[in-house]
Amino acid sequence: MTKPLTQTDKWRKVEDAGLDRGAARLTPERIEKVINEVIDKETSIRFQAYMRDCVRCGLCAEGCHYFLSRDRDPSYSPVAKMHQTAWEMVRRKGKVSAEFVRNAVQLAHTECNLCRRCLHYCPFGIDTAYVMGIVRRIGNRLGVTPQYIQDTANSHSATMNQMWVKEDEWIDSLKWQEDEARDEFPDLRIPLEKEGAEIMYSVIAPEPKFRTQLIYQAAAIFHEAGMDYTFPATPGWDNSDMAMFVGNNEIMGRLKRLHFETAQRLRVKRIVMGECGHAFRSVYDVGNRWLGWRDSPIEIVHGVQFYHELLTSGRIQVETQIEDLVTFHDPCNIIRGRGLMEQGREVAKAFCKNYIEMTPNREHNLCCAAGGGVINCGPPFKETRVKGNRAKAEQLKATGAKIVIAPCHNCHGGLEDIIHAYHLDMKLMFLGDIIYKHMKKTKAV
Amino acid sequence: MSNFSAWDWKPGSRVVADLSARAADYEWREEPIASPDGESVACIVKQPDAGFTVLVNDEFWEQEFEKAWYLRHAPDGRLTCLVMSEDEWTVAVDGQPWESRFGFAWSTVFAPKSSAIGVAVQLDGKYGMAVDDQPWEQMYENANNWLLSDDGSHSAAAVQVKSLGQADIDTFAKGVFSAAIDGEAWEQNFVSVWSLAFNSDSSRLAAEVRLSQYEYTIAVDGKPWEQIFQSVWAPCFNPTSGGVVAPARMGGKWFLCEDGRKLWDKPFTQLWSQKFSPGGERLAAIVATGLGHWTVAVDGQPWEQSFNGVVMDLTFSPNGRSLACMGKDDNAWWVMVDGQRWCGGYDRAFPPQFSPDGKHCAVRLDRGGRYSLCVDGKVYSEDFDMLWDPTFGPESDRILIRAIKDGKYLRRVASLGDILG
Repeated sequence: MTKPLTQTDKWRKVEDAGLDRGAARLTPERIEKVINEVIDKETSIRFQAYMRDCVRCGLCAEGCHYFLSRDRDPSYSPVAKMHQTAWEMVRRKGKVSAEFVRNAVQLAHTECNLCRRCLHYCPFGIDTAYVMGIVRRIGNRLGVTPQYIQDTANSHSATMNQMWVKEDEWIDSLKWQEDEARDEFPDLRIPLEKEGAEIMYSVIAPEPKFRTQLIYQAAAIFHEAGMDYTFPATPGWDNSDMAMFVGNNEIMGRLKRLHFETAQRLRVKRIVMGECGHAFRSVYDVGNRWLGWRDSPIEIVHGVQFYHELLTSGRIQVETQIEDLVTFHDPCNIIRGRGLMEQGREVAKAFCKNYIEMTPNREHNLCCAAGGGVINCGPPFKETRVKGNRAKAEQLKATGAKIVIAPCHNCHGGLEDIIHAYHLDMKLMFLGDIIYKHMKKTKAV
Repeated sequence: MSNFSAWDWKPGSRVVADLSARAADYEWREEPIASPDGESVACIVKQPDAGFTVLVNDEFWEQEFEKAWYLRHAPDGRLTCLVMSEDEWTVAVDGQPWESRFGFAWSTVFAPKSSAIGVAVQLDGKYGMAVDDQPWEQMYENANNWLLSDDGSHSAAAVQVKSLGQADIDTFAKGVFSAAIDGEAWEQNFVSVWSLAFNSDSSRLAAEVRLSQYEYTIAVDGKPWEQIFQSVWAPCFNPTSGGVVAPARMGGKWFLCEDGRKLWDKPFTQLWSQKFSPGGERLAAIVATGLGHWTVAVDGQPWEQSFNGVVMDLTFSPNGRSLACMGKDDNAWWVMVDGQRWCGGYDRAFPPQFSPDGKHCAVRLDRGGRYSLCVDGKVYSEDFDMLWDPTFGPESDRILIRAIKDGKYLRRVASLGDILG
């Protein structure tokens, strides 16, 4: 694993205002100072161990969809990505060029989904995703981050949500969906600011912005199941966290604190969150710990767990089943990160007559190529994503399925592009989609 | 603020309203809320084939609305609700809507020591506040962090003073946010502005500000501290010195600072929600002494007892001698007063309430879905379907209980002797 450092090859470099303008402002002194500050003061023995213990065996390569999809080009292997970024920064004690920083940040943001699949292939348990996160953090502290994902981080800090949704727009979206839903369920409410409810339901900002039908569906499911829940009317309703993925831990902490404190202000017993993977990672693994919590300060339940609970407790019942062949995509952050694979499958199988597994599956399933903030890097990197996941297209195609269930927003974004680009005749659905369509609706007109 | 000494403090219990009495007159009823003095219970109701209104005891407000939400009592007992008619929003106070109309109105805010009522508003796509029916003259691209000063004389918010194109990260980094008082923004802009705080006479305003992507400090009356930190949390004013006190992150640890300098030498893994005692003699904050070790520090010294979940609701007694909070351990809530845990834990515990003499503390509890009251560690003999926070009487010897049981809203004044036995 010595050769190809093709990361600086022109064919791989993508123009991006955030990267290019950010790098243009750098000085050698600043680069050296920030790199050494982050490595010396912000990383721990974990980072040092990863830098020290990797023997460059290359077994991790088989874990990476970019490597598999790029004709097994070794430069796409996780070990090579570490070599092309963090190792050089450490080896040169921060004396790297602005061009090097720019390209390292591009790589860390767009050629690694932080999906942690490679971790399963490493004999030493080296977490390349952690190392790439450090590279992103260095880039962000230097002001070198892809433009579109930086814009979402800016949105988080300005509005406390990812999509620049203003406070009235959030409330108005809920009121609008309540109105819509009353045509189907005449006494349906979307409770706002209900103190003492059992559950606070939180979503990611793209739901009110682009996918309001998901709020409608969730409200219908909550209503049918007779759940005692509320939405907050204040910032803190968005559980998403692109600040985590750009490495801005300070904004990440601010977001997570507001999310948890909003739930505590409403005195709910638990937070149920929609079908999103990265937000789950942020509340159970990353943002919570940056703030000083060992776990989350309030019980957090992912949508997959919640739907499983509703189904197995009999609160919702199956009315009809999907006839088409269906498969299930395992989102990294809820499966590799939290082990919800069986719960998701049980719900899917209850509503689907014909089910087929992808191969491989569960914690070995291939990433969607959109998570880890990669899809949030925006249009300039779409081709990188799509070409970087031919392996996923082949995996999907081999199932012959007509429907893919993916209980994660980023997975939807990524798989949609894969399905379109590789001309797969498939439809994407959330678990909420199938439950809403196929559950018994005893309270509907 | 209403004169609570004048409330009916005669011991006894009475049913104020039967919540099912007028059930035939509405399609559904939303969550009831009790008035501070306990004399009324109100809820938003949907009327058959019509709009929404508010039911107070057994009387409906005269007007009905296309939409209504966020029913809240002002500190003086008036009942407010956000209402919509003909696609325009406003605030209704005791059934009477303001004259001003808005594209949207939300986040009603109250001044604890005055009758002022403020609300966040959007008008023609611009954002600001309206106080007592008067919207700010100057409105902004966006605004948040709404605030009324204690005496209600001033309102404030974090405001976006410049337009921002989609994905314009360079302009954002130069700073397009500021703080506005009564609609007038500070001269200096910042990358971010959060957590505004007035001093006690409303003459000064402090806020967390971000100077650049990774430079944080506190700005007071528009002027940032000279010291720059890795992060900061919400500031408050020191009632004794007039200084501004805020948690600040340095070298990966949190310190409490006053006017930019360390006030407490001891660093913490986390530190926030600092609070002065009413006289300003003592200063407490919620702290983490390590990952998952949450407690309270008073004047820089952490209590020995800690919780692995969370600590919240830091509350001083009126005389400043006692301090209470809620703590969560392994999914159960405990009450902690002056560093000692009461017997616990409960499914939920609500903010502690001290008696005027500071000698007693009462907490509302949820045990298995039933609500009860705990006073000085002793749980009240009766539980309820629903219960509001208790209020001690002016002589500290009685407690006002506002509760719902078997569908009836009741107001009860119990003597402390009866509760404590």
